[in-house]
Amino acid sequence: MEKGFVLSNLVPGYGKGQGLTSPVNAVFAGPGIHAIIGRNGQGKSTLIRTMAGLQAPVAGQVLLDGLPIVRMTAADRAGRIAFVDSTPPRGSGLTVGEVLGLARPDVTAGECRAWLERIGAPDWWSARIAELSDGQAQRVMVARAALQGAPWLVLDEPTAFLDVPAREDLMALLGEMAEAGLALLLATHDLHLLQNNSQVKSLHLMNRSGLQPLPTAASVKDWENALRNAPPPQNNSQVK
Amino acid sequence: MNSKSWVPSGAVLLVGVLLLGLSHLLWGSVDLTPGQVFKALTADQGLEGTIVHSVRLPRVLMAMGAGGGLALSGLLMQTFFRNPLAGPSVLGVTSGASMGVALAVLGGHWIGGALGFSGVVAAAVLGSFAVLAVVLAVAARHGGVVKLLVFGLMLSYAVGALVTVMQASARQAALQEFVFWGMGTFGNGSAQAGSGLLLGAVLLAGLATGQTRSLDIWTLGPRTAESMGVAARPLRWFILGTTGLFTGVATALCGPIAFLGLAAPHVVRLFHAQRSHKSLVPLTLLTGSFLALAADLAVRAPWSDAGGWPLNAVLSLMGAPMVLHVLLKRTWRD
Repeated sequence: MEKGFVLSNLVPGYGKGQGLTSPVNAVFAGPGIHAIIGRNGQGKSTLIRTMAGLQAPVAGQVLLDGLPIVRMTAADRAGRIAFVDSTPPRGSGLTVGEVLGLARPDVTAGECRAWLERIGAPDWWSARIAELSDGQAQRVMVARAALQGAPWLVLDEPTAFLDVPAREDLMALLGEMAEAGLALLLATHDLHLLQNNSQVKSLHLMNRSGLQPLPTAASVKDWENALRNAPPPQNNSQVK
Repeated sequence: MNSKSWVPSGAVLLVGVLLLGLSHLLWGSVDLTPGQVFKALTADQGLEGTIVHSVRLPRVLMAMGAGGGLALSGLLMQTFFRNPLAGPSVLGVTSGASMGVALAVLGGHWIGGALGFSGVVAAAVLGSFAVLAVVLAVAARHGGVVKLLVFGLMLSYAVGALVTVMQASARQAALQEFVFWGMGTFGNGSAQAGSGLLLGAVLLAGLATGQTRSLDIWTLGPRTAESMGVAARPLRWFILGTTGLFTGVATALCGPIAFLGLAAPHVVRLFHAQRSHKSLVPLTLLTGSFLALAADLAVRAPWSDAGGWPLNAVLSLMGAPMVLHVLLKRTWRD
């Protein structure tokens, strides 16, 4: 049994897939940040959601610790993978304390308060999450995901709607979590935040021919060139 | 984990519900004293006994049950569709139930005589299930607050048009029965039907209380909810089963009740800060009962005509400003 994520002949997407010229084969294992970069419309979000078990693949499979992800129940998955969406919740009237308290059935108030301290926001407990800024709310959602207690944390462009300081704060938080032994899978456009980041364990470029590994030690310039040289996205692609 | 509890607000509401219920029992074409009501409740004797047991008590039970249950249905729909303007009457579920009742009452002579009371209830439940299933299927494919509301509205129009076609070709007696039913009333049932409906509402609150964690998680968005172990499908079946069944039965018994399901959860949010379903479920149940009894007081008021004002007119006068308030005050992202 192989630990971590194994993607074998995976075709993520809707209907007939997203015009990948070949299915995706890749392995993500071990603690640290595993980053996926790619241009808009190449299916990063779709791939990430498929890996988190939130969407069925068109073909092929995702294995986590040797088990096919589509066979797991939602509860079983929740114990293995926590997920942070690209937008924080806007329609919820819950307070930050209540949101953190939903992370696990047996989570304690003490744990939740400790995490609020860690994200530098001990006084947000009674604030409604919908009334925080996007950056603040996204940090709460990362804390919530961490409290879920799963060994994997999957994040779909968590910094997409944040300003620069908020992006740096969030990335620093993710780095700390990686250092503490969590495995993070991250779709992102923030190449600068990946550069010289000792927690980045792997870096892949998503394009129409699948996932292409890039050297983690390279510079933003090299990564940008790889992005530019990637084939252009399909027009009929349905997701960003 | 919450320091503030819903219990104090709940206790105040419960007292309010009981006081309103008592005033319904005391007062009417024949005014009774509390002593007479108490005697009538404990021993069904004499004129007072008849008034309390066969007229006033069924009406109070029916209003409490229908009000509480429809309010809870509205809350569950607002949470599930993540849409503050959702509710049984807005999404066309009530119209679906009306369609069922119209088929049973007006179409009775085509299908060999009236179906009887249980037939009407079954038809209403089937009608509300049908509309709710369509709305749920549409919501699963096309999100969006406005889209869903307009869809429900159009569905109501279409179903309403079919009902009108049936009315045009209905017999006089059946038509009259249907038109009166359409105005809505809590006064048309037996004590058994009333206590059954109240029991159903309390049961619905119990079932929803068992789901509070899932409902709270669902407010964080479908993808986040799924990743936290709350799958959409079982929740969808829960909403369909409970709110469809209750709306169908309540509509068959009381007519197509307007606004109550939509407005009651907002009245709760207006007066109570907590948004966890642990608080919202019991408070919405009580608020729904309270509003229904209050509206029925206006229906039965001495200044209203001999037959009383139509319940739906009173509820619309109460509910429409509420909806406008929510619409103007609240901002949300689609």
